[in-house]
Amino acid sequence: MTRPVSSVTRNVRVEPPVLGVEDALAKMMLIREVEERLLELFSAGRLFGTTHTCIGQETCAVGVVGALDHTRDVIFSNHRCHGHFLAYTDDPELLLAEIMGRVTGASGGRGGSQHLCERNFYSNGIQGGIVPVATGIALAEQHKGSGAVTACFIGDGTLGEGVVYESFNMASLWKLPVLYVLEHNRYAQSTPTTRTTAGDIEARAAAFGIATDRRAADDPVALAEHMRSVVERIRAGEGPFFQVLDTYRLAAHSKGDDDRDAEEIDERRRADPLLRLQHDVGVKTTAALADAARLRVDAALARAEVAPVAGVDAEAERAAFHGRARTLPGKDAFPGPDAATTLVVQNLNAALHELLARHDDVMLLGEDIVDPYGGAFKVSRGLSTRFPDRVLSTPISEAGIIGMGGGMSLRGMRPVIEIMFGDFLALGADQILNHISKFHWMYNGQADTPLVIRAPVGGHRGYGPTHSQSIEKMFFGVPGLVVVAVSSRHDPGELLRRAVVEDSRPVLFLEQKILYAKRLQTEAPAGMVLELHESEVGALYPTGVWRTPGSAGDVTVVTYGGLTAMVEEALFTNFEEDEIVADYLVVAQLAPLGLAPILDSVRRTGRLVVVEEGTAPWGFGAEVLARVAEELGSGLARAVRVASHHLPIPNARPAEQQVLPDAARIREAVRSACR
Amino acid sequence: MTLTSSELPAGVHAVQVPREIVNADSVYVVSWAVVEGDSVEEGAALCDIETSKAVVTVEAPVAGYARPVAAEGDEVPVGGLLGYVTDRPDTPLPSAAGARAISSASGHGAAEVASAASASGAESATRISAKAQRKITELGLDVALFAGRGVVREEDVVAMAAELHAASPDVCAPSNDARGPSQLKPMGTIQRRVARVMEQSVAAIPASSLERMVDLAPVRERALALGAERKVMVTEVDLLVHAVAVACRDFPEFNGYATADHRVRLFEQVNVGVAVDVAGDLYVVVVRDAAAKQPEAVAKELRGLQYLAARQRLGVEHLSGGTVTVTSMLGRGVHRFVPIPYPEQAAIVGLADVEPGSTKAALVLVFDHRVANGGRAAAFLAAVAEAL
Ligand SMILES: Cc1ncc(C[n+]2csc(CCOP(=O)(O)OP(=O)(O)O)c2C)c(N)n1
Repeated sequence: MTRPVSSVTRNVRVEPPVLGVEDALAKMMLIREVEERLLELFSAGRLFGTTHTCIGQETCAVGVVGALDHTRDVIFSNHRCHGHFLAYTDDPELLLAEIMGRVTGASGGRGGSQHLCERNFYSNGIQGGIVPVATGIALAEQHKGSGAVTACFIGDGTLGEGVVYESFNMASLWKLPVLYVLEHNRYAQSTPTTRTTAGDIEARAAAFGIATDRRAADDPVALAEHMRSVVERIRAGEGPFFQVLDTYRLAAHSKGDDDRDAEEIDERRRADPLLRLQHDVGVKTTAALADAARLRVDAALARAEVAPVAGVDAEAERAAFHGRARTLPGKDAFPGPDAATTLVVQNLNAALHELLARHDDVMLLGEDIVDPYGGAFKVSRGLSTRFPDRVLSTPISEAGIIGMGGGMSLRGMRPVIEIMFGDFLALGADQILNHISKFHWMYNGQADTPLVIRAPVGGHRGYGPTHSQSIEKMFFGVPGLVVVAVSSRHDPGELLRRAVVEDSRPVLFLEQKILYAKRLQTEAPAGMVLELHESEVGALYPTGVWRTPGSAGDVTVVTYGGLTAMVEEALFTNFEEDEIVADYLVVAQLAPLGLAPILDSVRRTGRLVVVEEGTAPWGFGAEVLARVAEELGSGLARAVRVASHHLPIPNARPAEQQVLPDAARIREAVRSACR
Repeated sequence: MTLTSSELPAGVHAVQVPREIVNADSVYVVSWAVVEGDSVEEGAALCDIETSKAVVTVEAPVAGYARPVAAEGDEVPVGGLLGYVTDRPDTPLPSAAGARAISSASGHGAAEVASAASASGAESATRISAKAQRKITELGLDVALFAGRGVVREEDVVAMAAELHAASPDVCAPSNDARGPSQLKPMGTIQRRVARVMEQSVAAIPASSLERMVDLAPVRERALALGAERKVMVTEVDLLVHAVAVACRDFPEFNGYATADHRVRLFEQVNVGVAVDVAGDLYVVVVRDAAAKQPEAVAKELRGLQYLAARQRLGVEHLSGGTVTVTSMLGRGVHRFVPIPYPEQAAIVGLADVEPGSTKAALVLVFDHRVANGGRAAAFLAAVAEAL
């Protein structure tokens, strides 16, 4: 049982009504009531996990969210998100049920306190990491012309995260409709801001040419009034805005973890903006509002309590993930390589041209991709000339642009991010791991991130230790992420089209550098024919199986990416001189890996060789071998991995060749598997 | 693959494997320095190709946009097409530009997996290993016997032979290799090319050899003195290169070669090839017009060439145009050897120690008996020794 997903945008556009004092107080008291009740439930041992309450900071939530147009504006919040969420949804049950792990919660009980999603509201518990995502949302809304403003909430401690500044930079460069709200509560967890934050805070944003303002968040009505003018100027196209709000957290950072000076807290309690507002409206109104808040929270808790607890059927989840990845034969497929697109680089370039021409929601971001340079490997050549608004050269900000791609994809665009060298994916790892690949599942299917990250990987080019790695193993095990590798036995352009257009999941799209200048192989390897396993018919990124007719095969050889030519050379000699007949499998979708074609072959051969360019420990081969062994037990007689030596990749050509696998090692591995 | 520029549309310049690469009929494409559509200046490096002797960089003939055709790892004949330089990045290329016909793979139900040849007919279902093929040849069997038999291994050939033998004992006599197990190891690319050159030479040149003793003591003294005076390192081999070049002036038939139609081509300039061993690979670097140079100039030039060889930076200009060759086994504990002349050369002169510690050395001449007889060859060798 899952909660019905609400539509993301509505047609009605309403300017937010001016916030009245009573209204503001009602909202603040509801937030306070929910937060206090949560802390009680935690101390009573009735809740599991963690929470961060915003007691004392409610003014920020009510003042900022009250200035937004809830029909179209977008909010991205952080770990301390309850107030923002309640100010936006006015629905305590969604929040309480979520924290109680119920399927009726905002994220179906999957996300918990800091991972909420409802309509245009999102939150995530990674400091700083949300900032490029929110900035990408703003880019998408700008591109769509929706007029929506995106508000992104961060704490003062988050100023320590570099990706914040990457985002500021791009938001300012491209005049994005984004409002950064810094809730300055003077502490990061336990550490006073003065210990972590040098220099001036406003000057940080100002340095990027972003308009800034700093004020105390003590009066929600005045704050909402001010924020309305800020939102208006952003909506009018004047670019990003950085709002610093001075506030104070009256409760612990999380639950009971408070080492601050008691006197300081007491003094702040006396200055609590909520108390002041209650004083303004009088005892009677306050009592009535308190009753109302209590009743609503009681009712919400009661309903949440009886709702089913979230559970996971792992098998069904897996099937659902794979189920999102089928294609109809020939559906909009590219015609396949012709004389002008026979080199892999031409093929991919032609595919990008066609994708941009066919789909307005495809947008390319990458370093140095604009003409005449056209990308470090020239895959993006000519694109910016034809589609200047949708092909953007970015600053050197891998985390920033991957995160922006994530945000754009959340809002229905199909961004393609070019990472200059796959090695630099490491800088964007947080975005891939904690944001892009998580959103769909942790928001209970309410969001998709159909993003494609293209990355040239691999060696043989003499680029040395930091520009030659097969870094994909770092990402193989990330749930929610699809890793695809082109090969000269696949049609790279068509694979890319499917990743961009037909796959709603995020795809890490690997392009081995040595392939760029290679021609696509359209003739089967000598003596072999293509047999597509039934599991791969209709698969978006099928594994190709080449077999020798008239033989059951002595050994199953599995590879992917740039090594096909080398493997085929080895297999040729293995046949001609060693008289070994191999089933030859080239995988395109590396993760999650469909095992069926491999199993089917090993069932016949009993022997398995996996060839990869990355290093062996914890790699692709390790996974294939483990899974085949689990399935076949003693049916797997011999298994061998061929991989790079477990070293960084040296620069000198002979040394590089020694580290990377070669045809001789592959041939020997096949022989040894067959001994 | 052998389009010439004159057949090309305007704005399209073919980049071919340079014809001045001698002793090679084809090269391998090692790597491209450019990708499709890169803009290049005239003379910019386009790609590296590997000959029997070196990796050579091919340069852009004109400024424009690079359009690679041959893929890395492809073997391309001398004069064959590597790619084009065009005046616009998207100038249409001649259709014969080496693109293979791409058959649609939709018949296989997967447009995305590049297509495979269809498997139909008995022939395509027969795959004979090279090992089995050799056995078939060795036993004198008919390949047709194996049609439609699927994968054919050596053991299948032996079994087939045994079957035939049983049916009719004189057909053939199968045997296991009495020499015991063995393995076939492929040669490296450079050695494969050397092998071809050697085969060509041995097949074409009826060579004979002569040897004479020389005392290297004065030669070494001269080399040392010269070296000290001119501040270069001079070796006995440098002096030999010079000596051979000088001797060739009086014996021009050794600076040429016999043609298949029994004429002798005599070169005016003596370009001495010198065999250089770099990590087991054989390169022959060329000192052009060596007879016109002073011995120390020869030495200086050879030092430069050895430097380039050690760094694998030799170009066509360093390796082509030799008319006679010098090789040395000095210091290798060898007192006799018979070098093989290069194809389209008549003579190779070698030097080896006679015995360790002695300054006596063997001066060897291997020559094409078609261009000269023994007496004339002996006189040439004497002239070399004299010049040395
Ligand atoms: C990348 C990252 N590092 C560390 C944490 C752990 N953490 C959670 S909240 C927090 C303090 C954040 O301080 P601040 O940004 O000032 O926000 P506040 O908690 O004061 O609202 C820390 C360190 C995290 N969630 N993400």
